[in-house]
Amino acid sequence: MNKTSTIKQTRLPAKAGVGLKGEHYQDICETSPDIGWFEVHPENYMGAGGAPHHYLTKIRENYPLSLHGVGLSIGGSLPPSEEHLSRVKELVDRYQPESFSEHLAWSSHEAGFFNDLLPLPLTEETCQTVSEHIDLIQETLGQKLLLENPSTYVGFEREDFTEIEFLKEIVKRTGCGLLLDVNNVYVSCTNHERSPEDYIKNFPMEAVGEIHLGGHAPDEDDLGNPLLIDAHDRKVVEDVWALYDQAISQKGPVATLIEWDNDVPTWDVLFSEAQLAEEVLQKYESQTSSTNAPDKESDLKEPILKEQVA
Amino acid sequence: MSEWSKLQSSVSNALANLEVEVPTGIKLLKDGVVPKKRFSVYRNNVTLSLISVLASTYPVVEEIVGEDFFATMAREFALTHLPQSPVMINYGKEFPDFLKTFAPVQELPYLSEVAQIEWHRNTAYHGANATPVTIAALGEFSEEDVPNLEFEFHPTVSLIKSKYPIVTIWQAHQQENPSEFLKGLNMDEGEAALIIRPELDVLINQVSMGTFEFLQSLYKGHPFSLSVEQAIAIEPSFDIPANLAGLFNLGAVTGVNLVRSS
Repeated sequence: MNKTSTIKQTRLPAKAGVGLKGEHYQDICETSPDIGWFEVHPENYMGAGGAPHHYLTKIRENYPLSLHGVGLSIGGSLPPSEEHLSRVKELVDRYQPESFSEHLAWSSHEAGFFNDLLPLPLTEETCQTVSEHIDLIQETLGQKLLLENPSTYVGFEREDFTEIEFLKEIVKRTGCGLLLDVNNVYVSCTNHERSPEDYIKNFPMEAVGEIHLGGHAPDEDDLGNPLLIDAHDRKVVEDVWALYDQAISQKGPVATLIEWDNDVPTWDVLFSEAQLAEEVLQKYESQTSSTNAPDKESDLKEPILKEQVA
Repeated sequence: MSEWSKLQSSVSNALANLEVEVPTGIKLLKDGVVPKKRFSVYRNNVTLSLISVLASTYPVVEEIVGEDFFATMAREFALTHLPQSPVMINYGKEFPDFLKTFAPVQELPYLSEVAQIEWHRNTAYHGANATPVTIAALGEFSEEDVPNLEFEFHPTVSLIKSKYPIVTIWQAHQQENPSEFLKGLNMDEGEAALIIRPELDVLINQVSMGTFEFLQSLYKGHPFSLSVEQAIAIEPSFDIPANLAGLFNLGAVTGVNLVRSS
């Protein structure tokens, strides 16, 4: 059942943002850079006090904020941990983020938490459990969830859906939105020998509330075929920029994040990477501003599937 | 048990047990080739990410044993101590105890206790904020009340004592050249510390054994007079005014209460 009418639907500005790293707290507080918004993993702010909350509070006063969870294990067979969900809820209440997102993946099972985004088979059964988990999260948080398409390295023998069909079905059942990670599209399509351009072409852009861009590491699989690994440890490659351009040409400008979590660069390097995304957004902003005005708050109360593709 | 639940259990088992084969249900590659290398990306992500969490909490332990050996040790720990929650800032509490029993580091008996400093440093960094009181708080009480005063401590305070010079070792590894700093160190000389995060930065304060007894007694909720006695018992020259001033100056006291004996 679509429960969007009871769920708060704020959105991030259609600008470039970056993942907030502890290494950059001081640079940001001292220079107030001209950047659209920041994103954090709520799991990194689940301590009681100290520097993380001190800086996040300051930064949140001046910028829109996105909470991007990595611990709810939405794709698992077990429901999200109540304890963890209530910790997330506490942060949502405290920081009132414009957006909350999570992954089409699992990270916890009976043995514990694996600290990785693990794959699930896209079947009727998992479509049902993922929908139930998202319903629970949206109801608890009182906020719409954006679900991110994953980077995957293996497939499953038995699957009932393509990834895009699966995501569309989840959007239909839960009223959630989508986070389109263009680097994940490139990584997964390369790893499974699919066309990333077709993936973007067929993606339900009307549901997209945010885009991610990041770097990946090249490797080879058991047969010597290319195997890309979602590493978030370097710059975005040319092919991913081209796919991003394609996505924005279809969707129009939308909040776009540079994810750089490992081998974190200086603030200046990260900022200039975000500027590259901003340039693409501005290119399409000027092309579409007369015909494709951003949605008004009132439009957002409509179920998302009724929105027209731009 | 549902189909996905069963498959998820076997994937989960194969992630934490490196000798277990790629689970049935994972798609085979061309000509039925088992995607071992592909599956190992997930195994690597799990172990490397946990090793990296441990390395960021225990940088001095890593520097003492070297990066490669630390990775081996941390991998062994991670595979036998999977996190029980997604909150990684709480991961690795048992690592100091693990070091006590991990055979290859038994010739470094102080390692586990240096690790304790690092664990307390981590919990202090993320601990609750609180507003300390100044030594003026004592002025609210008459002289005869002082022996019965009890102290409330800042929530980030912890106390640690070792029969090894662990504070000096920890401090040496904040320097460019630790071995220079450690030259001539008497490894049989015990040390103690008070760890606290009064504002944003964690302080590791070395204290004398007398001060440690004094603080530990106060921390347990014992009154001032008893705490002083315990300190003097092991350190006859224990300087009461200097210790009180030091404690308040650190921002370690958040309240002073008079407990009336009935």
